[in-house]
Amino acid sequence: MIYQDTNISTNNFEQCKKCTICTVYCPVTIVNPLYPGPKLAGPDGERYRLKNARFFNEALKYCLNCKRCEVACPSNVRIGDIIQSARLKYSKSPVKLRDIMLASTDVMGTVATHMAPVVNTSLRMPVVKKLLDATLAIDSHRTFPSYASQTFVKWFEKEAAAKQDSFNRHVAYFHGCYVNYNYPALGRDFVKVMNACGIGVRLLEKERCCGVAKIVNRMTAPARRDAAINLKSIRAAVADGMQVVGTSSTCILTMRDEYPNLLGLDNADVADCINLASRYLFQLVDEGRVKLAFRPEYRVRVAYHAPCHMEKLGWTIYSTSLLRMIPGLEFVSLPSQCCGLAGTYGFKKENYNASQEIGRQLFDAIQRSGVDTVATDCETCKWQIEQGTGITVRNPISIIAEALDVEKTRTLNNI
Amino acid sequence: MRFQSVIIGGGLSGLVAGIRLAEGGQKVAIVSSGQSTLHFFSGSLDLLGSDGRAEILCPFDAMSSLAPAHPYSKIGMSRIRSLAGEGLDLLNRCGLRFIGGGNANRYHLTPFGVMKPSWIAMDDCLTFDSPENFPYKTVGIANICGFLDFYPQFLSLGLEKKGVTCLTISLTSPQLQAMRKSSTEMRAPNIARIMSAETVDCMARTLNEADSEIEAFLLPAIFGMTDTVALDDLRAKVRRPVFFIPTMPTSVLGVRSQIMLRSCFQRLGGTYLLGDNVTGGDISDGQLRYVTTANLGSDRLEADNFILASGSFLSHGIKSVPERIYEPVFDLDITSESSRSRWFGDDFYETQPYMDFGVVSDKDFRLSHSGHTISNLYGVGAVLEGCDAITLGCGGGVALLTAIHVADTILKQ
Repeated sequence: MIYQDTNISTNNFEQCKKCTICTVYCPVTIVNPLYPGPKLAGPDGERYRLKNARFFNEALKYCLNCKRCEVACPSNVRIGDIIQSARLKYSKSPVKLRDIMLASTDVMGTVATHMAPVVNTSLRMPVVKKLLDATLAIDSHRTFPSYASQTFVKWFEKEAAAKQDSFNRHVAYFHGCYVNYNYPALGRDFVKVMNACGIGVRLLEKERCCGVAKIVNRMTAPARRDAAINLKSIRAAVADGMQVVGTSSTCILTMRDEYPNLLGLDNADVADCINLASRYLFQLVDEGRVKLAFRPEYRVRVAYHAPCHMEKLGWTIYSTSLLRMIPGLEFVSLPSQCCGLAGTYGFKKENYNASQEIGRQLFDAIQRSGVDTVATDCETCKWQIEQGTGITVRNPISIIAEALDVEKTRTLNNI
Repeated sequence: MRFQSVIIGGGLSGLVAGIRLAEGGQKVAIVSSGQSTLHFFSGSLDLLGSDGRAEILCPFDAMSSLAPAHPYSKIGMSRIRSLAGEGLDLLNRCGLRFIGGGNANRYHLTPFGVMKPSWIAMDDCLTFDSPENFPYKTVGIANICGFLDFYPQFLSLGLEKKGVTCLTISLTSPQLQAMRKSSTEMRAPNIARIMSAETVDCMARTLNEADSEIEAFLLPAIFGMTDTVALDDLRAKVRRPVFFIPTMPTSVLGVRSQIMLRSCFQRLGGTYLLGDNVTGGDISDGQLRYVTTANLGSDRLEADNFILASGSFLSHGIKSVPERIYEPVFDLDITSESSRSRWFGDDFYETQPYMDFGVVSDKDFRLSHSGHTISNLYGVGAVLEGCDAITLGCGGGVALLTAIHVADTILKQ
């Protein structure tokens, strides 16, 4: 009997060798001494928590779920998952109103897009920021991303949906809350690039927030409801022969990995069909199924910032390889490190200083690099880097869309 | 995705092979299952420290009596000396500042106060030519208040046996005091990560005021995780020599080595896939065609040549279950005793047979599957058979030399 292969627990904490390599790469430990660090919060603490729940430490909330500990672990221990699972299972502290508001990106988005000009103006007013800081502990240094007056879905239905039937191949687009409520331009870029390549875009039957913000803010029940709806729609799209592709690395990681690992929802049948837009496009080009033509006069100097969840997915190579396909693009490497925002984490007053301290080295590296644009696959990294450096941050798909010679690309792909 | 060479394992041997190949103009990818055991590196790298019975002084002379299966024997004595020199040059090209490298081993001080032979050492460390010839009569051993991973008493017990007088000193700064809030996280790399110029100033002041009898200071290695700025700053400000003793685990000297070698590899255009696991590959007609990884899914990594640099038991390059010992990626041929009772020696401190187990390789370090050599799959470093690195003190040297040797074999094709 090979019992060693079958006695590994779901939270594989017993695979930890106590080597402490994870702690070297934790961005939080050195800026917040209240955080016990990934080894103690994760596999070490798990041993005690299994004996008695009172060993749970509320300071685990300072983990920003970047999963850099997991990427570093030589024994594949799911340290970040152990920490987040422990918070979901053992934390007794009530979920704050502020956290519910920050995490309910879809509800807030629906309301806000209806009165976008009013909401955008008020959220930028110092007095409102002070009020949010004082009443809800949302740090006044933060500015919420602007809401769009027309959602991506509305635009798509009005301007793009009808055209999609003319294509033979299709892909299902998981736009996510940010594209839908705040930044439809990225969704439009995705449709532009796909259509130029001869691929039609469909939306999912029903799309809810991927749920990452709800998971880390311990709103398990609504997160699971949203996840179930998304999985049902993903299954339907896959049954129609489509891959489900998103432009946010965190949404993709959440639906592929956090659904089974943290919410206990089995997605093994469709996990391989959940893909990131830049990876999907690279694969199409690499396999020779799509050809891209770029504007000869296009020139840009770009640094790619690898979001933590992109590093966890192991897919940074796809985005950087995709960008390097643009002849007029000068590529600049950045050291791989956390930007510090981690979604809702950095908006919380208690985390603001740590968040900025974590990002400081990255901001310095970007400012020293002298680039025109930073590329990244994560919207919250975008907010943080733009606030920290003043340099515009764009998704690789938007850079491709800008550099693309649409007519030539269409011809190359026989459209 | 297509590369000229794909390396499985991103520690010392994988990185050195990758750097050598990239310097030779190749397009190389390294797949590393998490961070490597280089993180436990003491700063002193051994070529050959013992013949199995006693410490040896001249590693090159002693190599000729190694068993035929030992990687050095396969490389051949005529090549070893120049390879060793090239290895040292490569490390220093990456900014690691190793010193030594002559015909004779030098000695370094372990965290337990023991004097051990090694061939080269990072210039953070104190080395000397003989245990009977420690260069100082009085040393100041300085620790950081609240730092739990450094034991001045062990050091002074070892040194006092050799007639060295040891005085202890406590160092702190407001920044280090703040770190004590989380005593368990006050680890060497974390201290190195927050080390500021103010803290260095604080320490330098205390050291400069210390007893005038002290000829040199010994400090825990808590300076310079990504570069040597803080380290050089301290040495410039302290008026007596300062040397650093590695702390375990995780060693700042090791983390710095890993970071510097990796960035050197990436500067040369190499692709480093961290936190990914090779899940298998296609071996047909005596060749490895491609490998697959957990993160890349259906996207295969194709290459002309592959190098297995996955380490030994500690790094999961070799695995054991009660029934057998095996190589987990390709189930390659392996040397091992079939009876479990012969894997171990009775005495924990004796030589352990399992330390010698590893993948079977031919004289060019090509590996084999079911008795058939795979013509484009090479092994380097601790995954190889025939090197009990603990007994012989040859782990670092085997990693360095086999990596360069195999990379050169590939480049000559």
